[in-house]
Amino acid sequence: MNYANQITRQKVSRILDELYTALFIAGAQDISIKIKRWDDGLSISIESDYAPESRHKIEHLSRFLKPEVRNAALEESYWALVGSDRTGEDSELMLVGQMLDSADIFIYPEKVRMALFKKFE
Amino acid sequence: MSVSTPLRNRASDTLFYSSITLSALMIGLAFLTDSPIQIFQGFIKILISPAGLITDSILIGGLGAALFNAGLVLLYSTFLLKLVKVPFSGISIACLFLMAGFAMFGKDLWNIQPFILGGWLYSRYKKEPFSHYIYTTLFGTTLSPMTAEASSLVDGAAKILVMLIVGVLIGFLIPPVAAFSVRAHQGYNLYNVGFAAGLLGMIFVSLSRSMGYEFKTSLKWSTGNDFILGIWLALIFTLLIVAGIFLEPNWKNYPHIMRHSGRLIADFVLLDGVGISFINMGIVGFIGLLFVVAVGCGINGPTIGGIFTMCGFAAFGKHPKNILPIMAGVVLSSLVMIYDINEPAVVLAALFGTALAPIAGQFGWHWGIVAGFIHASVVLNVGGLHGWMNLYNNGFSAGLVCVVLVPLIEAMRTRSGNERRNV
Repeated sequence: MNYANQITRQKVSRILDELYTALFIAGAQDISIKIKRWDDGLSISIESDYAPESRHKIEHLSRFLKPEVRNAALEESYWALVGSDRTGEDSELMLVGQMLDSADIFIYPEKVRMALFKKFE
Repeated sequence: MSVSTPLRNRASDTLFYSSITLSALMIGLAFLTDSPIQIFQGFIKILISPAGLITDSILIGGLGAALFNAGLVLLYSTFLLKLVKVPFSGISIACLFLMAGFAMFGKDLWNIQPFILGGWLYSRYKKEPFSHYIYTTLFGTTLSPMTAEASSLVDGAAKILVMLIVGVLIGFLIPPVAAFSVRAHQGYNLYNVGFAAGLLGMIFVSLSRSMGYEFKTSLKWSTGNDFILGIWLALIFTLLIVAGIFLEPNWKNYPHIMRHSGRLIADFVLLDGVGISFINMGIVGFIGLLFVVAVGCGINGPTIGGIFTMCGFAAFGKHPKNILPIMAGVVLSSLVMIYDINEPAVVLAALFGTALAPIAGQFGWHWGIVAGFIHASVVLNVGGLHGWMNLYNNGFSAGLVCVVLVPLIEAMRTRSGNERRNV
C-alpha cells in the first residue's frame, strides 16, 4: 500500500470511528461493518439497528453523509479531527460527509444500511 | 446513488456576491474619505512599509488608502477562491473577512503574493489541486511581515528576490505544519493556522537571532476615526442581519445556532444555512464593535481587524454564547493583572481571543472564562517568540492555551464522571 493509500486507510478508520459513535448514540446494539478494497478505493458497508425513538438522529446522520456541496479543502485541512471527540458532534459528522466520495443510506423501521465509498488519493 | 458535488449553488453564489459587496463598501468608503491621489500615495506607503505587530495601516497610509488596500485584498482573495473553483461556505467567509480585516493592519496586496505562490507550489509538489490548500494558503499569509523584515537586510533589486524566497518558503511549509497542528489543539483553537505559523515563525526567528539579527516590536495605533468607522461597521452588521432575515424564512430559529460548540469544523453555512449565518455574523460583529466602543480604545485598523475576524468566524464556529465567556475572561484578567482593558494588546486579546470559543461551547461558560483569563496573559508574552512577525499572535497563544488547558479539562471531567454521552 503506497503512502497516499495509507492516508486513505487512516481516513476510513476515522470515518468508521465517527459513524459507530453516532450509531451507538442512536441506540445501536448490533453494528456490522464490512470494508472491501477496490482498485480505486475502499467501500464500506454498515448495517446497524437503532432505537426507534432515535430515528431522527439517523435521518440527521443521513443528511450529513450526503452533502449538497463538497469542499475538498475542508477535508484536506481538518480530516485529522474526525473521530477525536466522544460526543458525536454535528460538525464532525458533516466533515465525514465532506470526506466521502459517495454515500447511499437506506433507513428501515428498525435498521439502517449504509453503502459508502472513499477513493484512494 | 452518488453524492452530488455541484460547484455552484445558491448559497455559494450568495456568499460570493456578499464578499464582492463588502469590498465595494470598503473601496467606496475609501473614496468618500480621501481623494484618489491621497489614496494612491497612501497605498504605495502601505505596500513598502514593514508591517510587524502592531502596525495600523491607517496610520501608515491614511484611512482611505487603508480601506482601499483592504478592499483590494478582499476582492483578490474572493476571485482567487472563485478561480480555484471551491464552493463558498462558512470557512470561505471566515477566511475572506479575516483577509480583509488583517489588510487593515499588516497584510497588503504585495506582501501576500509570495505566500500564495508558495502554497501553489506545495500543491504542485503534492500533485493535488490548489483548491485543496487554498484556505491554508490564504490564512498562511499571516507571516507576511517576515518578507519585509527579511528584505530589509539587503539593498536594491535583491530585496524583491529575498522577499520572494522567504515568502515562498514559508508559504510552502505552512500547509503541512497546519495539517499537523490541528491535532495538537483538537479543533478547540479556531485560528489553527495562527498556531502553526507561530511555531514556524518561532523557528525562523530563533535561527535569525542565532545569526545576530534582532526583531523589534512596534505600536502604530491610529485614533480619531471612531465616528465614521463606527457608523460604517454598524451599517455592515445591520445589512448582514437584514439580509439574513430576508434569506431565511425561519429566522426566528436563530438561537438554535448556539447548540453548536463551535469546535472545528462548525461550518454554520452548511449546518444552518446562509441566512442564519448572516444574522449570527451581524450580531457577533455588533458585540465586537460595542466592546471596542465600551472600553474606549478607538476604532482603527487593528480593532477593525479583530471585529471583522470575529464577524467572519461567526460563519465558522463563533456565536454569542461561546464568545462572551472568553471576552469576560480577558476583562476579568485586566481587573486583577497589571494591564488595563483599554490597552491595545489587551483589547485585541479580547477580540481575537474568541478563537477559544469552542472551549466555552464544549465545556461550559466557566471554562470559557478560565481560557480567556489565561489567554490574556499568554498572548502578551509570546509575541517575542516569533519576533512579532506572526499577525495571528492570538491564534498562536490560543493554540498554546488549548494544548495545556484542554487535556486538564478532559481529565477533570472524566474524574467527576461528567461525560456528556454514555457511549
